[in-house]
Amino acid sequence: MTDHELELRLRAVADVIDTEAPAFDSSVLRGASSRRGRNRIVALAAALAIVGAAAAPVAVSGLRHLFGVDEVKELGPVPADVAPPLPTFEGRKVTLDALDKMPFAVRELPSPSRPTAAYVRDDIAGGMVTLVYGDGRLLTEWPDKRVDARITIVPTSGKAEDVKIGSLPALWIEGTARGTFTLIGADGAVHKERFDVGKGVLLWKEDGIAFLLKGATRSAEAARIAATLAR
Amino acid sequence: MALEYSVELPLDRAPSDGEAELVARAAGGEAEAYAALVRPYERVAYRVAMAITGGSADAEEASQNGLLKAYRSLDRFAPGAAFRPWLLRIVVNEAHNVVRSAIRHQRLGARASEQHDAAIPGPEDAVVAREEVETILSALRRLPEADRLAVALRYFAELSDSEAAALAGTSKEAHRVRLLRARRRLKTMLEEADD
Repeated sequence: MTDHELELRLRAVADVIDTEAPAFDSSVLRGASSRRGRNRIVALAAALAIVGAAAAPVAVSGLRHLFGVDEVKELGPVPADVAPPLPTFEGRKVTLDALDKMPFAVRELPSPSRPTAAYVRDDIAGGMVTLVYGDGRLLTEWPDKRVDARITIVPTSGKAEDVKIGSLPALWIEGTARGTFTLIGADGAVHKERFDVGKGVLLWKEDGIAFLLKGATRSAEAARIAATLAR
Repeated sequence: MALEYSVELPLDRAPSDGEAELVARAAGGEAEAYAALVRPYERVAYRVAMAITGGSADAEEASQNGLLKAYRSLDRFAPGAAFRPWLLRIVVNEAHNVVRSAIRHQRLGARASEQHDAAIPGPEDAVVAREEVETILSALRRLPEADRLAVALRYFAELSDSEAAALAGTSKEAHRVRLLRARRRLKTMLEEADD
């Protein structure tokens, strides 16, 4: 076993453990105020209890290999700190030739034609590329040593399911949806952006690169498209 | 139907303005701010606790207690310092406390049952993944405490060598030696387990 293989096994185990991690039970704070805030915590206790109840996850069947999935009964409003959606995650529009200068190897779908447009986000740590194809598909990719997604499902309709891209685990989400990307800016600041899942989204990662594919209508189709990117 | 999900890209270690603000508000007693502050670290706290304690019940106790103790200790958090290593130091201490406590021994029976239950139901992949988790955790449990901590901080907490060394109270060079030694031992144990 090489060091690299050992590292992969350890990181994979960390990913599995992630799916089992309990959320912090913030209700205990009601009886344990910080030393500087004993007086103020009492006033917040009631409000916090409501927040905690709304966000309390219930069991979701199946292991999520890459992403923790929580199921709740009611989805709260969009947090105030979430920026409006960016339909294509677009940033700076670049030529396809410019993709060669990205700090990671950008992969393209082997479709009949090359992307009709490419966008680069310079404001995100590590960079993010979105390729737009003429048939409506969008492929967003970014270097990511860890994809740590938290998914909240309102079980009125729609679904999130595990799929396979060859041997790679992936997550398919479909239906009308609201997503939030938590991004780390190149300046180190954390910011959040909202986007619409639309017809469906496939999320997966391979070789340290995370991928998000939009535009496929079914999970099998998305997985088939994604498989063409595999190395 | 409505779905909401977030994808967290790798975080830089330096505290952001938003995080610093949350720290200040939480230190002032805003419990909601503290809940928001620690939410990105819930998983890494649990991961590290799992690596050190080797069991989900102990890991949950250690991570939850660690997060609570950190809240109580916010007045000792240095403004401008990185919050994540500071928080993880508390969780690591809690994990060690759990391991050393008599409570752990009382839970051994429950843990065996827990592992058995986890291995029975679910898809085949889930069972395979759970077996791999148990294999790795079993190997980690057989490492000396310092070596286990080095692995936990490197691969489960994803701290840099400098951060891990500071948290473990050792030099960067000593941390690297421990990590090298731990990796060697782990590989031997896992190769034996794979045979």
